[in-house]
Amino acid sequence: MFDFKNVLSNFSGVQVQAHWAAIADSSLNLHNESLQHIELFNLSPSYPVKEYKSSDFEVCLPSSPMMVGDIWELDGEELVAFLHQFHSGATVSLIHGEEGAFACLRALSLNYAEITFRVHAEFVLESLAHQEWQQANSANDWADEARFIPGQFVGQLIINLKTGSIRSFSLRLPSRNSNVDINAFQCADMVYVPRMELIANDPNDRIKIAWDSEITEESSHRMLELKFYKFAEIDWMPIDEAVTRSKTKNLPIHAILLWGVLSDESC
Amino acid sequence: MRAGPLSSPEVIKILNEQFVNVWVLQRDIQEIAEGAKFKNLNTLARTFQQYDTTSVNILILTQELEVVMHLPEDTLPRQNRTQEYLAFLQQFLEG
Repeated sequence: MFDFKNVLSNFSGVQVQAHWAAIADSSLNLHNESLQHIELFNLSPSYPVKEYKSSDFEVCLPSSPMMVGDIWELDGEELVAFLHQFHSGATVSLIHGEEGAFACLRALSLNYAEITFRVHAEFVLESLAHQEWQQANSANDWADEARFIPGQFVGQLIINLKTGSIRSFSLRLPSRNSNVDINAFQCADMVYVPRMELIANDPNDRIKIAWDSEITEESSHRMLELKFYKFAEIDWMPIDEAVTRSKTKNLPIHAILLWGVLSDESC
Repeated sequence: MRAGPLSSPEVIKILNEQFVNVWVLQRDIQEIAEGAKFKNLNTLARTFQQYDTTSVNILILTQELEVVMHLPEDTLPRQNRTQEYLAFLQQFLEG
């Protein structure tokens, strides 16, 4: 068991860079449908670089001792402070879907600890044109705010336990061909954003870490997924493996064909 | 779907014990078919292409990759969706 109480004792600042690439692909090209859409979805970080205190990262730490592989819940509202670096409309109150934020102690050594985490959040977008459209349709309950809904954010935090400082931090949207849902003017689309990431590294801390205890990144992501979704207990497999397994196990295939990713909030 | 029938312990048990489970994005199917490294995968992807609709489609296929059941998700009733899904699976299992 490891107790994270007071581990972030270093008072030096942590410079976090934000990267937010433009929409590179979409199903319906909604983001380019008109000048009003282009205005809404032409997004970039509010703060390309922002300085945090080490103590700001305490929101990712557990309040009680943990072992490698343990999971704990994070306070999503506190994590929003990081997401505001992308956009002031960040919120963990989702219009649909599974809300929440969970973390996992992935690896531990005498000098380092690595925490992985998963957060569901979305961004409420504003423009004069969308505001006017909402007002004109205020009698209708479908006149929602414009939203940019990433499928999920995956986080990684490595703490130098010896110095009490942050060795590295990242919070990123996994890159896959359909990873964000966008909503505006009563229409929706699924789009691909190649990079949306907050990232920080301590340039003076580059030694190779030899973990004393660890689980794989894949395992930690799987454990986090199970905290969000009951349906993740179904033994889903990639299509090529499914074909082979069906033959070898003599089992029928149950297939779901859909337009948005099943295992995150981009659908 | 994921918060409804697919989160039912009963549905999960049947799917894990009696089926091989896969979900596929419609937009990936053509690429899967073109890049298929073995014949059966190409056959399956080509079969999936026949269900290119705006709805979510649920299929049950035999080991020979023949579609024997098709359920467009938007035909599931708003009420008792889990029971309907169970009935769909049972209908296949009971032949």
